[in-house]
Amino acid sequence: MVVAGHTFGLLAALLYVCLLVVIYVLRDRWPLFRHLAGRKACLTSISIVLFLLLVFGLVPQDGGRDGFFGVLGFRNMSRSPIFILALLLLATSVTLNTIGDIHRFSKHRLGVTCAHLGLSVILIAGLFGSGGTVRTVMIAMPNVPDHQARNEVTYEYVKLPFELTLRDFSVYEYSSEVTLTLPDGRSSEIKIAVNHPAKVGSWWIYQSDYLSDTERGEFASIFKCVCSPLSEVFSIALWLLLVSAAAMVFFAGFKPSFGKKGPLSVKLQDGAAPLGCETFNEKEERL
Amino acid sequence: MSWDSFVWFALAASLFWISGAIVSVISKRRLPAAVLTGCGSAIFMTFIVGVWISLGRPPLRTMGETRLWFSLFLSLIGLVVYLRWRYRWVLPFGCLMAVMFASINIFKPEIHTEELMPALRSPWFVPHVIVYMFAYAVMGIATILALRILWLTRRSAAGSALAPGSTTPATVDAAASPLSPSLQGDLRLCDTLVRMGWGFITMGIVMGALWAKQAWGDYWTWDPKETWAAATWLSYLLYMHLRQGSALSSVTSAGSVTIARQNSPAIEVASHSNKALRRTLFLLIFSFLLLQMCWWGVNYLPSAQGFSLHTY
Repeated sequence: MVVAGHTFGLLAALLYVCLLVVIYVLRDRWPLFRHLAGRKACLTSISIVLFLLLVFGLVPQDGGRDGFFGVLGFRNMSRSPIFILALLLLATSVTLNTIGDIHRFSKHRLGVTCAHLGLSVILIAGLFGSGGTVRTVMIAMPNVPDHQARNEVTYEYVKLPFELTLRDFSVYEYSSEVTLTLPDGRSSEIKIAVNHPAKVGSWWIYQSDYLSDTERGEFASIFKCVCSPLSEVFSIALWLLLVSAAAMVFFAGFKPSFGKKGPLSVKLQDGAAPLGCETFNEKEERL
Repeated sequence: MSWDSFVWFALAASLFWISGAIVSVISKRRLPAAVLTGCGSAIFMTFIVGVWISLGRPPLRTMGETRLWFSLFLSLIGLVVYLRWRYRWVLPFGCLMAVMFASINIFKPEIHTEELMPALRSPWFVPHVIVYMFAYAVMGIATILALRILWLTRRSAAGSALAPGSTTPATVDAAASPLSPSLQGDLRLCDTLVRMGWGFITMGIVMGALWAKQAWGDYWTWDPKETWAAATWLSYLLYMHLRQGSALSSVTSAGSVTIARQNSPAIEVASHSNKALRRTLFLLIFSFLLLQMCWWGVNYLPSAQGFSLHTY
């Protein structure tokens, strides 16, 4: 099921990117495509997502379906069709700009290109990759081998591709000593703590919570087992964004061109075209 | 070192900061003001390091603790802007804000000495909070600049903030008049600070996402704090895109300016009409309000109660 969801998401994402490349190539022939790749679409998509975030920030996200906001789906933002459409519009705008940045690559715009690329990968992976992610919860009793966990969304039991046996739990360190057994019979002793998850294939095991039996003085550990095939993709995109942001901080503070001749004023010779910080599509519109 | 000694450190630092602010206004030399402000920041930093050592954890957990860093960064950013860009009035503003936040900590400390909860014992904790505090301080200074420009362009209808010798052509309305060089400089600095602050916010968000993946298995869960952080990030992004595109749009919309001054060898075109500029600057102030919501407002927001991991 995980593989099917993941493959479907990956195919959908690839199709979506191909479609955007076609839109980019045909932008001169179709006014709609040109507008989609333009600055106005960029500003509009940011404004729409911003507005929706303000609404979602003020409305309790309890998943309820009653009341004015509940009926409109504003009480469950991660499943709100309006929000998903708005994010899709933002992803379209950012990705078209990224394609433009790559097509007309300039080392002077390397930071912006990296930021656009990181953001578009995050948005596309978030929109199309969530179908392949499985989040489960396992309650591990002391010294009882277990390989079943309950799906967080469907509440169905899922058979995990490994077996966990809780040996010890430390309340102070919030960590568990666990025996991990793989299907081929190999086993190893591992420690799982908050901020220190264990990785088994594409599964991550997190220390989530614990249950205490005060009479026996024993603890049961609650693990969160997550299978996220696109985790590495997210991670690379986030690091790309982090490096771009660090570059932006550095150049904003120290690069002389930002301090002295910023984007404020544009010098025009008679009949000369304006230079500066226009985007590729604006330049094309002007030409 | 304990919180009991905070009042003495805060008073000493405030004294230096206020002296630095006064000297920066009355003296033309930058060094005395810079040294005085630097001394104040050093004293404040000493207290932070001392508390860090005595608590055995970074003082970044509570509102009172984050305000310590905010005060420190405000004074430091004021100092850097003063030395790097020679804005004399930014230093007094930065220092006075630093004194104000230090005073809030004296009267409403919100200090807790308990140990860090397990989720906060992460290598991402310190950089995540510090870059955010830095972003708050940078954006605070940018907001002050925006308020100053808004205040001065309000008077520009009377012509006082227009560029000297600028004869507004009949084809151009007063709102599209170029800003004076001084205000242009303010605006450039404002843009630079927003770009820098946005970079810090982005770093804070990304570090938070990487940390959340390591601690809870999800990069992003749309927790109320995360929702407001995303709103803040997008709002500043909108400001930057509006400012970035402003040069071109003003050129195309102010084509009449080009025609009216065809005989000039080169034309300095204002990047915005003043009206559009004022709208963009109001967006900057709105963004700063969102930043406040993200920092502490979410703790009091009814929609966040019981739904946020970040309310403290």
